[in-house]
Amino acid sequence: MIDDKALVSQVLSGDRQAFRVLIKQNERLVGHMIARLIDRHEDREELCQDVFLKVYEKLGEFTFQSKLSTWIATIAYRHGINHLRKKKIEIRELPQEDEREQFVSAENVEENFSDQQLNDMVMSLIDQLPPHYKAILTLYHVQEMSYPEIVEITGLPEGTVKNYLFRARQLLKEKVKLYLGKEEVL
Amino acid sequence: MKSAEEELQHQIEMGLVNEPTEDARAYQRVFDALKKEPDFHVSLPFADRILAVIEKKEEQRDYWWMAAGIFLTVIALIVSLVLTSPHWTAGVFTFLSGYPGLVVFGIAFILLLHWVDKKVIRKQIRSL
Repeated sequence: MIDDKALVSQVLSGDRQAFRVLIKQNERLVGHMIARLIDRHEDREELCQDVFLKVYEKLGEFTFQSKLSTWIATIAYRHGINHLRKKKIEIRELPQEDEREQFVSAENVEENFSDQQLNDMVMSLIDQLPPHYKAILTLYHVQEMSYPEIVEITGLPEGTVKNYLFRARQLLKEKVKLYLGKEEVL
Repeated sequence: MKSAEEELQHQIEMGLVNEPTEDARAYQRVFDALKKEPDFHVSLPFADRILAVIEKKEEQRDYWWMAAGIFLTVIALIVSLVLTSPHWTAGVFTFLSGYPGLVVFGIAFILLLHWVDKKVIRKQIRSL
């Protein structure tokens, strides 16, 4: 893997193959971020493309204050959030205590389910979370980024990032508990 | 100070839970699921498509610069002609004024050479 400085300087000197390498190194990161923020499958690839075009355009402004991947994730996150705003898609908050029952309701809990189904259920619950929460969960758990990196990407204070992570996991746990409770009964 | 729930999340994350309670088991499932990547992958020719878009944009930008350069040159020429009202009687100009077609051909030939250089020669060098 080429180091960030060498790769950026090669791209800036006009080496297209170096930019291809940059895309290959970061396409999963950008793809995950966009996929978590954007529900419409058809929009995702185009948005990923826009992110890399922006990276190419702005690469001269990158000052190596952070890792290149963190900087690219910042662009992807902002692009995704701007897309939601442009499309007037509501950026919800987590349900308040009194509304939580709806989210963790046992209504659709099946009586027989496999581990895989439970995992799929958790994944679909993650998809129902508000965009900021989904992005933070992905950065922390899938990309294994540190709190300072997530703070830089999202522009949220560290306390808020930790709080979002905590609340999202707690909410997911409450729903999973309902399933596990059924499993024990059986 | 951390709440019991926060402490439990921390312990699960660190793998420190010895006696799994119902909450701990539920958290473990959540943490396992959270590690899974979203089900989305970009298509195979993704990088090629981006590079093609960049190339096209740069070509368009070059054309705009060239058009702006030609436009400004023509304006500068007109302004200087108007301001100086030159008489084409000195040296080589006397010769050129007798062959306006040759002058036009010369300019067109230079532009053509630049165009061939940009469209054919540079592209071939880049693909080597």
